Amino acid sequence: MEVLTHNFKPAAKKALLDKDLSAAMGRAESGFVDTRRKVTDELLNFEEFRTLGRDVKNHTLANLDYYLELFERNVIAQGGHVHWAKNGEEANRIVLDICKKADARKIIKGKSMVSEEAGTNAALERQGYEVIETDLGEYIIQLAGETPSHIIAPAVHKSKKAVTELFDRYHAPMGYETVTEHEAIVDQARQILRDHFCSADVGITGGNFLVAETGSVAIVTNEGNGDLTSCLPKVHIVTTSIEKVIPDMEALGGFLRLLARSATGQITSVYTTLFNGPKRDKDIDGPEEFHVVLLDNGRSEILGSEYQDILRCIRCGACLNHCPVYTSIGGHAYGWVYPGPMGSVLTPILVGRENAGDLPNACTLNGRCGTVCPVKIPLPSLLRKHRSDLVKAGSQGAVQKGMLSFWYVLARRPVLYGVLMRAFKTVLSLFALLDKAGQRGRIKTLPGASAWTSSRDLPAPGKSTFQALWKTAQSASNESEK
Amino acid sequence: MAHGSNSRQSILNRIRSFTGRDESGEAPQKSWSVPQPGYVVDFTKDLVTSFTSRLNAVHGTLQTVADFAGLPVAVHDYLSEAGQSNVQELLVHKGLVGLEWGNRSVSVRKAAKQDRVSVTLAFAGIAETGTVVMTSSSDSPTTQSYLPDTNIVVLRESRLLATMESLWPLLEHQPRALNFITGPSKTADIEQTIVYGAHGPRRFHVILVKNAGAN
Repeated sequence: MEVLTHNFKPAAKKALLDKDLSAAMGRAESGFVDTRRKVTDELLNFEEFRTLGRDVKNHTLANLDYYLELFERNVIAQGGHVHWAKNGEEANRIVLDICKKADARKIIKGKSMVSEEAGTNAALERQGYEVIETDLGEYIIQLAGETPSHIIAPAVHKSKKAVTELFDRYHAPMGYETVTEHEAIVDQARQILRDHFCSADVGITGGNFLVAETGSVAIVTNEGNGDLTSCLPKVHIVTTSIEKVIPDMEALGGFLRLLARSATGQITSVYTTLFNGPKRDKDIDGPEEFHVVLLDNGRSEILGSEYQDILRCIRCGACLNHCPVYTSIGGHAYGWVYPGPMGSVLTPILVGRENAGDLPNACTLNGRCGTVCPVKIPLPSLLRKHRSDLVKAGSQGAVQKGMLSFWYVLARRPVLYGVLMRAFKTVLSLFALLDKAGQRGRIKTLPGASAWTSSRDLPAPGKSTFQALWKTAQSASNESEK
Repeated sequence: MAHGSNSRQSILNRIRSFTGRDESGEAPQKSWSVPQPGYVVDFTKDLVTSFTSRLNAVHGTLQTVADFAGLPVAVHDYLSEAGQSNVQELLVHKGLVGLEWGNRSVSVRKAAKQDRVSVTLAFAGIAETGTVVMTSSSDSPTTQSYLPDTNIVVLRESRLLATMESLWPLLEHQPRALNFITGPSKTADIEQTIVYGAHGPRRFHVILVKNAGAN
């Protein structure tokens, strides 16, 4: 996928002013947060499972070569093929090769963030293949010519009305009528995609977990599209990445209890499937060929670095749903495949910090992402680490540098600091009084600070400065001690 | 396969520079065990009740029959209730072909998009989540669980397990596809509103067989 992370600031600003987006994101945030809370509370030892998730992933990463080779051996023993790809380009070459050998024309896809990372759809389309996404959300954004804005709910930013218009544009010429209600929209997509499922030559899915002990690829869906994608065409390709491997079925049970709860607030997804190679001798259905493409794309370089913990990520999206920045601006502003806190940690590493330096700064350090992460990735610390590395690399702007130096001077001169703060407070309070448009206690417009006030209010200052409050509190406590 | 073999080596080499393991490295020692999941209500006490309440919560339905001979009537009644009584052909698991199906024909074959009803036979059920476990084989084609609008799943009560962990010792080998299914297909991709029948079955009905005998 094209990297647009350098454009983060203007993209975020535009997103903040988009009323439809803001409505969609508000709906999503409350839905995801509440349902997750309910099901994580119901499993009394959810915390124990989080610890298990962390420990199993750490163990696997510490022995990653062993488990990848074990996985590979077991896939091959079941008649499947394993391909290794250094980067997205190589992954696409492998996929193209398989499609060419299979004499394919139509390719259907289940959701795969790794294929988004590699830009597989575009690579296939350039060679003339017809590529159809089958996850409803992915299908919608494919029609719209967009990229996913959420790793598990790709069309979370789209309203029902927008989907109706899209379907009208693309389905009406095929003889379908206008659909305006949720059920009718889903049903129309179901009819159209069924024809594709039954006529495709190759199916591509992602892989949530790769079980080394058995050579199994596990995927989870609610729609069942991943299963239809894998069992109807004659070739099934799994596009996945090296850090998805886990040791055994015992570990899988632990991760499944974490994933659905953290992702969609479900006890379990409707469909969890383990693929073990191609169709067997007497089988009536299933693919004749089974391929797994293992993408590295910079992950192996994160091993042993200070950012290694991010490799534990199981792509549940909980950190996105609990991030005030993500839920305000949506996923597209982040400019690459992975948005939100996990994306702000991973993207600068994978696409280069020089391209994505603004992402780790888009964080309020509230810490919720770290609290909800099912594998206990210390996301807030990793974001701070990025910031500190950015400063060390000298990527701060002149204004930021100047302001910090100014503050540094002031902070060491308490008397001057106090005088300036009082003056500043008086001026701001005056603006708050004069600000007729704003509510009480809020400032809507402030000369010279429109960057702040164009998308949010500035709180009016309190009655007293911190220093004055501190002084009063100190003398009061001295009084009482006497 | 020759494909990507250079990349294979270079990726593994880079990983080994971190793990410090050589190519003949021994299996690492695992140091964890999966905790027994704990819920406010102990779901292991009454597996049928736990299974049923989980299944109902996700829009799946359940009925019980005494033995396999009672299946055709139960299927007939369910289809009438679901407004599907005019269905002529049932796609079934091979083990169910020999039952007295009356006027309806039964076939063991790969499902196609016009097929309306399948009656599949679960390998096991999981009470913790209300899940049925399907194993693919020549007797049990995977497509039967996904293409028909209505999926009726036959589950032997003796195969109702507490957790996924109790399943692994029962599986002699991994089938090509091991499908864990919990309720009808659904999506919330448009405005977070749940709609049933996204791509897979719209109706998901489990028939629990009390005394499965030698079957």
